[in-house]
Amino acid sequence: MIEVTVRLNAGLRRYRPALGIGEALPLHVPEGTNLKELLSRILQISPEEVAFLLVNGIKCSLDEPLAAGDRVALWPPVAGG
Amino acid sequence: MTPEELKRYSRQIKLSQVGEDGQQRLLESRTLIIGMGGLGSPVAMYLAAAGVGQLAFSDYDRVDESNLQRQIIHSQACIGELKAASARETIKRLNPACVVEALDYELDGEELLAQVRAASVVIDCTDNFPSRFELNRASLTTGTPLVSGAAIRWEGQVATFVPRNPDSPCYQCLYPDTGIEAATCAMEGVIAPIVGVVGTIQALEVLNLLLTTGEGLCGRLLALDGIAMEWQTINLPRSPDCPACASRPDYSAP
Repeated sequence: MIEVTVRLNAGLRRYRPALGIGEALPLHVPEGTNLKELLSRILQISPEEVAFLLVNGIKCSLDEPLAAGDRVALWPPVAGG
Repeated sequence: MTPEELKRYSRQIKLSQVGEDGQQRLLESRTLIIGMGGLGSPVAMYLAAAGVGQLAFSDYDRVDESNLQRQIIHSQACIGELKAASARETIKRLNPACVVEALDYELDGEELLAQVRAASVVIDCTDNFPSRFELNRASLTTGTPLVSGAAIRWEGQVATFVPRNPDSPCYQCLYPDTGIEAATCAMEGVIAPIVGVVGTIQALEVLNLLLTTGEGLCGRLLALDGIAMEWQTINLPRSPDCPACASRPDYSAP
């Protein structure tokens, strides 16, 4: 298992309402887990709910595998005006 | 510039990045704002106040009482009026010298292309993905830079797309057209000033583009979390297999 942290930003906080504002969620995930599995299996957030996935500040695609210590940040899609 | 103009814009002319030449450029510029709601309100008001000479607005909706909490270009007396007309009246009071074209019908097809082509910058203040994709295609076809803003709940996003810059992504590089429907402010709610913050950043970005003061947000997106009070800058590479912009017109061709 490796440890990563996840920041749910803006409207995505509703998936972990107990987390404090700005607080990162620490998670232990199996080695080789990619972002798609992190979303669907562990966080249970549909990929459609996430517009931007950042790993250590860099935009990544769903098939990107995670490494120990990675800081993941998620932002939702926004189209209102 | 007339003595009145020199006085009116004196605080801007004082900036080394503006000067009389820059202010003259703003006075000679035309911008197109699509959507005269929460985002379009501050965009239009700041561009008119800053001295952008010509503004075209597109919106065929009417002012509803539920709009007034955040769509600050409209007021109580305008409920039921066309938003394009209501916005024009506010701009006329703010800066009578600003020439406004109020487009109060559905702008699409060739007419959309003609309006986008005639503008120095087009500003996306719409509230749904299909309009955003259509406007992106018009920006790519004409080469007109697009300043895109979006807001809902307590959050917002701003990005700029410059088709003539081969490194610049387009809107669809960010948001693939998967057919999903966007959440609306009517469904999810929206806190009043979030559209003001996002729209004001859009207006600032338009002035950056018109004055060529820097690269601005080309290739980057600003995401705002208004509860955490945090901005994040996200670098946006161009998507090599983007169906909208993988091949772009030769803008240098006559």
